[in-house]
Amino acid sequence: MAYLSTIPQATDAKNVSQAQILENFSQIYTVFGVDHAIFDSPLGQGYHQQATFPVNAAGNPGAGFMRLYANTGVTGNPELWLRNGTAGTNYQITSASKNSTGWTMTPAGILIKWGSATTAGTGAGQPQTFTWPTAGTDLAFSTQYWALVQIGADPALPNKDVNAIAYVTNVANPAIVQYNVWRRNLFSTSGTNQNPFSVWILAFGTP
Amino acid sequence: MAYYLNFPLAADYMRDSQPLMLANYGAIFDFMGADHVQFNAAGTPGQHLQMTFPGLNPMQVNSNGNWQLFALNIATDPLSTFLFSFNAAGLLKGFSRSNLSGNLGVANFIQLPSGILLKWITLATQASGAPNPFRLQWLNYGDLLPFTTQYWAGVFPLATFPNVIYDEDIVTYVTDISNPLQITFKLWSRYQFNTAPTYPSGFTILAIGV
Repeated sequence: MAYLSTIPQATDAKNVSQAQILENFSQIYTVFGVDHAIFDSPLGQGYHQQATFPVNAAGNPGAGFMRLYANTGVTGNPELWLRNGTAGTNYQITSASKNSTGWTMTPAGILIKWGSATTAGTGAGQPQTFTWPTAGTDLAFSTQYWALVQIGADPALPNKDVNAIAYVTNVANPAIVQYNVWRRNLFSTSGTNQNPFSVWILAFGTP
Repeated sequence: MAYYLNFPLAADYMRDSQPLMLANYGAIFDFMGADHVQFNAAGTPGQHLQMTFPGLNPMQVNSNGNWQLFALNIATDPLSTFLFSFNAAGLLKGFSRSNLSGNLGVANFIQLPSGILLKWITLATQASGAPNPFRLQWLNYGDLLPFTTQYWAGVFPLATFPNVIYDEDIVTYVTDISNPLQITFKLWSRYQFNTAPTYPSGFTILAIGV
């Protein structure tokens, strides 16, 4: 039997209402027992043992409200989303690409990206450009606020000293990070024996 | 307040059912008052004023394939209760776990809702002429949540604070992070090729993984 929200009516016979009331109390117990500490629970009745979110495209709750819900993310998987009804924002806070070049969302709406690449060498084609991946399952920056770049060893020659430094020159284009690479111990000078080696990049922005 | 089931039965008199029904309506009201907008209250009754999660031990098993958010007591961690979540595939992800000691020489971390783990450490002093490569093994520095996979790392020179005596004479760079339990990197003199730094200095590391 289902929960009945319109009983008992004034004209209902008691022998009809009895069964319906019995069922309603049973339904209340069952439904409240989903996700919640049940009546008289030592955990505190009404508190949440867990919060379970079926996927649904929840709407804007309006100014003054926050809404947490599950829906399909850019990853193609069900993710947890956070809507801020006042700010009008909607962030997929559990989405991430867990790879050596990857990214993660945060509940604040900040997008963190990281990656590495092999660079041609010091002084080669300055500035050099690192391009963020743009697969359908990647979340792109709409604004890139900050980035850093660091030289790393040639993966094939990890014991060889790397005679280079790198520094960011431009993050204005959210699709790329531009950087210069020079020889470490001489100002504005190309290196002599290091190429290729790797660059490691970290950036913060918003999706 | 107790909640009564299995009533009213067909043979029950109204006078017997009345107090049980009264008790049940009171129990329902009290139940809703925990975390929810109450019956008859301003706003939308049933919505959540907040969500309070008692720490569970042992962990609930998610078998319905939906996202679940819950709190878990972890006796071995300094902060014993965290919010965890399952994704729809039933995989466990951390949500708010962290170790923020603020102390030098201790592995700090925060775990984001996506499950991504950010870990960092600062070592204030490092002897000059340090052997290369240098291997930092996270477990040697109180790491409470080891990486299973380490995706990215950066190593940066740091003045030997609080007594900043020397100009920093080192350059550092990562050479290998394939082992999730350690970071391998080089320390060389900043301005001399293939030469150990002259003066003591420190470094700080940031790593990203799961």
